[in-house]
Amino acid sequence: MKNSALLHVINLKKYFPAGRSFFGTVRSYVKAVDDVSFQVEKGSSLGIVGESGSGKTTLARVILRLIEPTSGTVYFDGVNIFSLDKNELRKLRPQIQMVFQDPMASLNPRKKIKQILEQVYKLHTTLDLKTINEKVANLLERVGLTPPELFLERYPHELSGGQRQRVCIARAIALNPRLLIADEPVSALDVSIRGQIINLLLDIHRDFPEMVYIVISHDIALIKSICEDTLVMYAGKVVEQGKTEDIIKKPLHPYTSMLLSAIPVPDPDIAKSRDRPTITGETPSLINPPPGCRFHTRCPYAIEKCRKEPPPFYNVEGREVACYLYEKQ
Amino acid sequence: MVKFLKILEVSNLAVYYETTEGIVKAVDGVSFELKKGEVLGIVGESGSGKSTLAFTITKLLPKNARIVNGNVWLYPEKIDLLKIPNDYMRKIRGRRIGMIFQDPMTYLNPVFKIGHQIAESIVFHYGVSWKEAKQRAIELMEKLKIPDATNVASRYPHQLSGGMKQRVMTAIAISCNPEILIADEPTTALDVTVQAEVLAMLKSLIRDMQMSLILITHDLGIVAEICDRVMIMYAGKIVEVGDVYSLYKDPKHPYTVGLLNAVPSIKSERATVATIDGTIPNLINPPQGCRFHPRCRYVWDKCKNMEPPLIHFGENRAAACWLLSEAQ
Repeated sequence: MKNSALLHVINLKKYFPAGRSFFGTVRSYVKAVDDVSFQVEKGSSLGIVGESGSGKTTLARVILRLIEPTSGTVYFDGVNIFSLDKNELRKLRPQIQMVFQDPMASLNPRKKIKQILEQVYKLHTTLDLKTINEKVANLLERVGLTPPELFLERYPHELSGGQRQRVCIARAIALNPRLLIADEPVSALDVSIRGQIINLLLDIHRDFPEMVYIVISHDIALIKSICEDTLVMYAGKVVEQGKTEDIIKKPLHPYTSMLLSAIPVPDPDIAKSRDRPTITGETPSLINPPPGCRFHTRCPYAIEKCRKEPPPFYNVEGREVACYLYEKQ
Repeated sequence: MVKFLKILEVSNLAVYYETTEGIVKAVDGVSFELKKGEVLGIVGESGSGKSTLAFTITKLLPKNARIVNGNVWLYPEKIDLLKIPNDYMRKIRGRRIGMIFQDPMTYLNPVFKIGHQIAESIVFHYGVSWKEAKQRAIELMEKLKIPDATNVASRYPHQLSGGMKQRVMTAIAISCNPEILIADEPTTALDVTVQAEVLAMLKSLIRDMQMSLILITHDLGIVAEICDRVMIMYAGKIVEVGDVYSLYKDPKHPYTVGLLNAVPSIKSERATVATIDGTIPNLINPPQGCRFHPRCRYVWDKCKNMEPPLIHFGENRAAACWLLSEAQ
């Protein structure tokens, strides 16, 4: 099993210094990602779901090594990416790509679409200009920007939000990456455009079955349409992980069930008749997270133990759940 | 119950923005009614004109906006809000029409304490002393389940979380018992679990205070949760309107159908998500005829040349689509 894992994250932590004393010593930390471990098999897709402040974006940035971790290791295809030097990392970059939330902010406004995409090949390959041009045109066609001639000479501001996100996806898949991380790929887009981008992501996964997808979102419905597996995060910790379908059908962790019941259902018959557990409180501060289980302040089932000891993972019905409710089994 | 009394009527409203690129027809010929105690959802994507509509009713439009045509009548007196002077409008705004906006941080004043900001409109509209107004503000906050209200009242907006700020905004909006509450994307900036709390709060407010609510959103899920009636807007026009139960079950306008299918649902079994092709039209040069026709899969010649009117059918349903006139 370990051999087929493309990405293996072990005890990853990222603490951001939050306050410094007069002499510059760090007084407190924001524990954005606190002891997260998981692995992703080749060709699979993992969704990371959580609310704002749950650490999902920080996690992605650490995996990409856009920021350095506080501790922990990430193995990409057996290589510890934190042990790589600048040159080795540069060689690894084409294999790990990311699509960000806001396509306008991640495209250079002064460069034409053609230049944005050409640059990827110029930086990472030794192809001649003619081949590059062909590749760029194919790429645009691949992401549904047809005919390519119509888009090559345009600037990002001349495109709509959906088209810009297509350009971002094109740039990300240009070098056939083995890992594609998409951070809230559709939340900046209008409802009628979202479906187009989700379908494009699904199409691409069909074309590159070896590629691993990690989709980060607060919207579990989006993750359900793309990912087989899901990791639920709360306040920097993983609370539940398993098959997306199982999690949605029968959430085990009290936080997961709260999250699922909070989603508005676009069907008035269901929406108006169902009983929802009352939700109280908000995501805790990560500078002084609650001791024990971080969810205990909002959990209807919290017992004495939850307030003291952080729960370990229990294996329940093929899933990992960090909750004392499952201690006996 | 007096639920069927008309309280607000918008008739044939057209609002254009003058920009350097040309005239943007943000709202173009919109008419609807709001009844007492009713929750009306206005759904649309960016550029559909839904927020412009809210800003027109409250007369808070930016300077480059022109009200080209139409009336907004407030009942029972049938005051035309678009014709009255600003002084008079100030007495209505906040007192009879309350507002909640999308991003509470931009609408709360960062240099005043929460208690002061809630008390301000009570002092303005009721003429009570600041002391009494602040006491009422704290009672209001308790009613909206803000924990430790006395303490929160003496804090500044930046010290509160997003959900808490939205509750404070709501407290300001309802401080003078308005008959109509307009909420423009009240939960878009919030997390889902906090959103569920804010929606539950709004629901119980409407029930207890007999308020009418206009809820503006792009999320059909939220509409299903709390609205009685829903109005779908596209490119400055109403494309469909009806009660939520029958409209969700049997949408008639191709845009409504597309929108309902395009929401990825945790309940659905589909492998791919249904989509609406194309992009939202430019409102400086909107498409001729039906504004949805370039994206519509049932388009025919008539749609390209003539604009469909709202065609009424069934009980309280209407849609602006030529397909309906053919069916009848």
